[in-house]
Amino acid sequence: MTQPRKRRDDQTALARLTDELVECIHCGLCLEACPTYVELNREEDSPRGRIYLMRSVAEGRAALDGSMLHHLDVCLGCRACETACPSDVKYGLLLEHTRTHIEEAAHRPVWQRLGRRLLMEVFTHSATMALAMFFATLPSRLLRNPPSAPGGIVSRIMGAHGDGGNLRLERFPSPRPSRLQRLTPAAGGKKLRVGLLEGCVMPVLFPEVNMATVRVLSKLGCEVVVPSGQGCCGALHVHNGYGRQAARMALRNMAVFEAAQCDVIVVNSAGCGSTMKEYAGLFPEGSPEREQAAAFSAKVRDVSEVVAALLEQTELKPVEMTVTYHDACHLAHGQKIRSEPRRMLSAIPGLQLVDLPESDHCCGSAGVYSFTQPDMAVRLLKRKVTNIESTGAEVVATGNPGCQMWIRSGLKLEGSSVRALHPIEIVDLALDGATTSGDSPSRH
Amino acid sequence: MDVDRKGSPSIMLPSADTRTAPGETASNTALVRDLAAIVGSENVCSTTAERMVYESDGFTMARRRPAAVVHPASTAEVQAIVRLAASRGIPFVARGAGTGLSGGAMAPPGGIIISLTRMRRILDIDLRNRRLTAEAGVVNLKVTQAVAAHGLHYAPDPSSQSACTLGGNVAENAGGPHTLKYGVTVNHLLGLKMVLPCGELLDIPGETEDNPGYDLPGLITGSEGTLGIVTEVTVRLTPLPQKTWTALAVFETITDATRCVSSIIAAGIIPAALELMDANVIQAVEAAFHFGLPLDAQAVLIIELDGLEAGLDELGARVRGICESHAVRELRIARDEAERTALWMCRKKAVGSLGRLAPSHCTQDCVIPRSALPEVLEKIGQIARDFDLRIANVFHAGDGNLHPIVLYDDRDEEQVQRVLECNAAIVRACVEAGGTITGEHGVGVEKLEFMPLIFSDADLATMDRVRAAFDAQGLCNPGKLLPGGGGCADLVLNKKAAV
Ligand SMILES: Cc1cc2nc3c(=O)[nH]c(=O)nc-3n(C[C@H](O)[C@H](O)[C@H](O)COP(=O)(O)OP(=O)(O)OC[C@H]3O[C@@H](n4cnc5c(N)ncnc54)[C@H](O)[C@@H]3O)c2cc1C
Ligand code: SF4
Ligand code: SF4
Repeated sequence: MTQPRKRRDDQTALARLTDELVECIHCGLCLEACPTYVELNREEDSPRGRIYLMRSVAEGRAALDGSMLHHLDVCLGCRACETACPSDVKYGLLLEHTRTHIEEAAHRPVWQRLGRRLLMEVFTHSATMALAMFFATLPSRLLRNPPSAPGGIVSRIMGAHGDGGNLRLERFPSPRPSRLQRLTPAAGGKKLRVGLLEGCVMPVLFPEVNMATVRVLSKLGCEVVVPSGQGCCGALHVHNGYGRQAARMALRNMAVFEAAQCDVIVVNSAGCGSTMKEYAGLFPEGSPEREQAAAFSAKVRDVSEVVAALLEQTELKPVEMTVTYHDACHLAHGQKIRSEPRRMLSAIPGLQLVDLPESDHCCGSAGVYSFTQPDMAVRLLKRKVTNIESTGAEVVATGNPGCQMWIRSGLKLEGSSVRALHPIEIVDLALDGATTSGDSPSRH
Repeated sequence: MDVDRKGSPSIMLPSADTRTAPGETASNTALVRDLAAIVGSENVCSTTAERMVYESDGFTMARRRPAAVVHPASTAEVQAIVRLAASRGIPFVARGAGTGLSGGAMAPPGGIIISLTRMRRILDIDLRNRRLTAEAGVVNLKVTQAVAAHGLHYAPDPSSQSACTLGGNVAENAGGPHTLKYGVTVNHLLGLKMVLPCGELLDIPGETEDNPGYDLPGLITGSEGTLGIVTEVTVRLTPLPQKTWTALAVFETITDATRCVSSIIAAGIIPAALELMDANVIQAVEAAFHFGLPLDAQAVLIIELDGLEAGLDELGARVRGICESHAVRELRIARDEAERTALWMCRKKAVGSLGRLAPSHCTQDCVIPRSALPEVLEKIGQIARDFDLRIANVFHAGDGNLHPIVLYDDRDEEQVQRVLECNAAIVRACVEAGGTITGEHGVGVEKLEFMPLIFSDADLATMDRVRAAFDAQGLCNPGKLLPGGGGCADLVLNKKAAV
């Protein structure tokens, strides 16, 4: 494509965002909330700067060139800027639309595009992901090293500069994802019928979190359905510029869960929950799908929202443990959920919940970010690990599998003894459930 | 005060962009290379996209793209950069967080921006003497956070305190809601290090309270970056009050509220803060935060008292009495810290929430004698009717620091023109009432044309000479603060071209 034409196309695509872009009053109150600004201290790596870049493309004042692409790529999509913004700028939405245009207008070299697509597909299909993880960990298994997967290769495929190093895992993953029972009855009187999203990453890397979720919900009086036919929620696709595919995935999940007739739809992964609560944005204004999506989203809950409410009338076993809590971005910023997970943990006798400094500062995992921007991801991870260590806690709890995996890997690399768990695993202990992922894995 | 222009129009200074847009000229490349030799290439912004985002600060009605942006990490690096610029005759400007509301941190023509944001270390905390030394890029709020555990805080609290830097605060002599009792930046600055426009270092240690000779920190505070580049400051730490009493007073008319303000001060009470929000603001804030503000009231006051526990409730009772004598409809006292925080959030995010009433807004910043509040507010109401525009008022009533906010739609060119004229009318009305043209946002480029309204030729010439004593070459933030300063006549906002 010729340069001027490309520039015009960029302008047309981003001009659609003008109404939202002008909401930014350039006040800068979001700067210090932005992890990449706090690390790099530069306007072009801040929310305000990125919005300014998008706006100048929309106004035809600038081209979406390599330099601009770089600064947009460094954005984590963590949405901490939305929490800080007094003007209610929907940054996440701006970024998603801009990234969709970047992918669709083919702004990257072919091999990078293919690499991105490939990674997206692997991560969003449990079966392929399980196989990929199996082979990725094979060398460490054969060499009798601790379980690890080489993240650097992936980074290189993605065209990233730098290398996030090896990902340290808790154990060698099974070549097949562990699936959940389709229906688990409520223990005692049934209060709710909940549909559970099984997820893509969970069944491969954290089957125990899924199992704990089912046990806890069932013990608290929920009938748990895991409808078959459900698929990836589409979060990675939305965040990385594949809006159309995400819309297809949303339709499929909407149909499957609709058929399952549940009171609420429970999600134990912050990133998935946040996306599912915003499905409407994937469809054009005024379309019937948009309305359907809004009705679907109204039923979606993070697991902590449901459990915190139900725990209030429940007797819990003491769990002697010092725990600190890391706010996953897509819970704290994406879904504005901060108090529920903490309430859930504080309800447990014997458990001491200690504050984590910068608890809502992104850990750098951010979907596939740790592969696409390994340098920044590792910087943020080190910062997170230092903060965790400073609390003296034995366990760091966090409600998102990506964070759990990344933080756990960081802790292991630093030789820390702190364990990273999903809060629901701790609640599970207090309800006399099974062992946690920090101990030997429970198989189903 | 708060935010400024909502989604302001894309206004350009005459020919500013064309001058620097092509960017990668030969001299530019050489400049970038030499700057990189000082700070490392990763700390120089040179691409179009990178330079573009520094076109303006929080005042977006004027913009100019810098030739380069350089991010030093030490005073020595700042000196080297300034020496390089001085030797080549390249103008330069310091930039903190870019939250300024008068265009002060905009690049001079062909100039470079020296960004202080990497200099964000707190260097020394001296609890015994209640003093803290920090680099200029440290964010205001971080100072309070660093000492809060010791029962101390840094008193100047601009609404932008979560983002703005100490260097920017010094340059603008920033204040906030609590400056009524605690004073503005200049009252809390003990010492500083500043790189002079020739590259020499001015170092005023601030170890003792009283220094002989000229009060240079006093002169530098509020100089809007025209006398040099501040790299370190030593500030005073203030004990946190033992107890706080915060109330919301609801009034049927704005005049009742403003008279009440005068009476409180006249009674010899110095509240920690005394803020007013009018009906337009109440509506927007209520829509955003659901605090339970009465939608039919014409004005509310946020009154905060603080100090020793003993006697505070009695003082509160006196304030209640004064409010009652001014026909207060309701006086609600915050029961706990959570309620107090919620009330302050309404206030500090008030301007941001005005986006709910109109697509764009534009904040004025004038100070008038407190006693003139009722009359000037009425006048502003009249101006709004004359120009057929809606104006919201949220301001530091205790200081008489007004922030009339004009609501409009920046996509309508005719309206934009009206807004500019309306703003000028407001400034004139304030000056006529014995006031001045800016309280805390500074002159920058925004208020340049109004300087002759309050200063005589002799005043301005004296200021020009002070400036020249620091900056003989006229390279340090030229075209700001003083109308004639730096000889950059083209910096006066071209309002016709602006639309
Ligand atoms: C939402 C919002 C609310 C605000 N509320 C208030 C308020 O309540 N009270 C108030 O007083 N102001 C307020 N402001 C204005 C602004 O935040 C202050 O003027 C602040 O002091 C600017 O700091 P900064 O670091 O952003 O400086 P910048 O905007 O980067 O620069 C401002 C000026 O200072 C100069 N400067 C910056 N750093 C240095 C340095 N190291 N050495 C020399 N000169 C330097 C620049 O050249 C420029 O002229 C508000 C702004 C916003 C956007
Ligand atoms: S999403 Fe996160 S990384 Fe991106 S601009 Fe916002 S705060 Fe910064
Ligand atoms: S806080 Fe909101 S309005 Fe202010 S600069 Fe950031 S995104 Fe823009």
